[in-house]
Amino acid sequence: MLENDDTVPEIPKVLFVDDTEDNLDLLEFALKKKPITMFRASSGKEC
Amino acid sequence: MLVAEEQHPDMIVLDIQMPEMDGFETLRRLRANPETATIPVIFLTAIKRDPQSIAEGILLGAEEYLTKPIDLEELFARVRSIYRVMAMQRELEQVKSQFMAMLVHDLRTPLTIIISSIDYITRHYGDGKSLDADSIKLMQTVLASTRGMSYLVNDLLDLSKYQAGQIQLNKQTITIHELIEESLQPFLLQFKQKNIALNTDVNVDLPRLDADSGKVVQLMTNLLANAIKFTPDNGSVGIKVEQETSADKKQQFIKVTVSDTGVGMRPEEIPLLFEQYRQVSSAKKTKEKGTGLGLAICKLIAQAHGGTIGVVSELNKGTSFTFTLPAQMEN
Repeated sequence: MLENDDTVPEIPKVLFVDDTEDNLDLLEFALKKKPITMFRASSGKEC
Repeated sequence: MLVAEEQHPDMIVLDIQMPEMDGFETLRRLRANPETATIPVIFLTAIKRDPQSIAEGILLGAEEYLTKPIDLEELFARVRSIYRVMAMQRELEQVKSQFMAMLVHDLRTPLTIIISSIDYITRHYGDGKSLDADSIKLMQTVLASTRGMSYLVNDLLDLSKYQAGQIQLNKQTITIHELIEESLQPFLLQFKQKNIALNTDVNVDLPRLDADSGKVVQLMTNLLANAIKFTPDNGSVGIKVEQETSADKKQQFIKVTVSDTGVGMRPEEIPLLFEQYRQVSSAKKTKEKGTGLGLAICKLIAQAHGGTIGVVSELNKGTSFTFTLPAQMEN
């Protein structure tokens, strides 16, 4: 997994851009216990 | 573009189908903004196997694509793969800049010596006086510096020619004995000066080669120069030549091993050895610096002949380079 790979930062920061807030909520929930820092944007302009 | 500029994410997962500004337009703007231009982007498509969107996304500079709903394992795999590529690119840039620094240093240092020496001699002996012993020594330094620069420039030219696929072999029927003798000639004095023993084990009855003698001598010369360079005084260098038959018995090879009792290498350094512009740490510790191009050139020469090159090494024990060249088949 991510934690064991030297080339990957320990906790990568990933920005998810999706106009469907429900999708972002679902993703945020699923990623809660994963080694990833999630940022969200609900439009291209906001991204 | 707010979040990307503010947070500098390591990666962006971007939905294609969005109102007002779709994913393609968003990516165009991300790439046009210097703050966000290099952030890797994974496109997110709602429709499985949407080749047109995928193609357009990749064309715009997206690194990967995923389909909805996101499979987290797949997402992590993509993140990992993108990071590997990015890390390799960063490493390559670093190697390149280290090489450029080495190149500038290795060209500037002898040039400074040459200019200062000639300047000194011109000022002191411009009126027709003959040179004294110190000045002759200075001229010898000029000569050595000029040779060093010449080797470096030649290595660079050779490598660029070979890489451009311009390695033209002028093949002749020759014996490996002739080539070894020719390769050893320039080093005999160095063997004596460092009191390095030369042990040869050359099978007399070997098939002939169809090879470019100049290139094979260049290969041998590079290996011998390294062996002498990394072997301390009173050490030994060995040359072993034998015949080898391929597993299917269809091809015979001449196998040459050049071994030394030098500083050796750590196992992790060996895979980098034949890569151009690389110098392993043992090489960096020696007084005489190399360009880091010699072994890359050796590999290209061996491969161009249909041969191979490999290395076995142990830190503080020594190194053995072995190359093979196809031999003429006996009728």
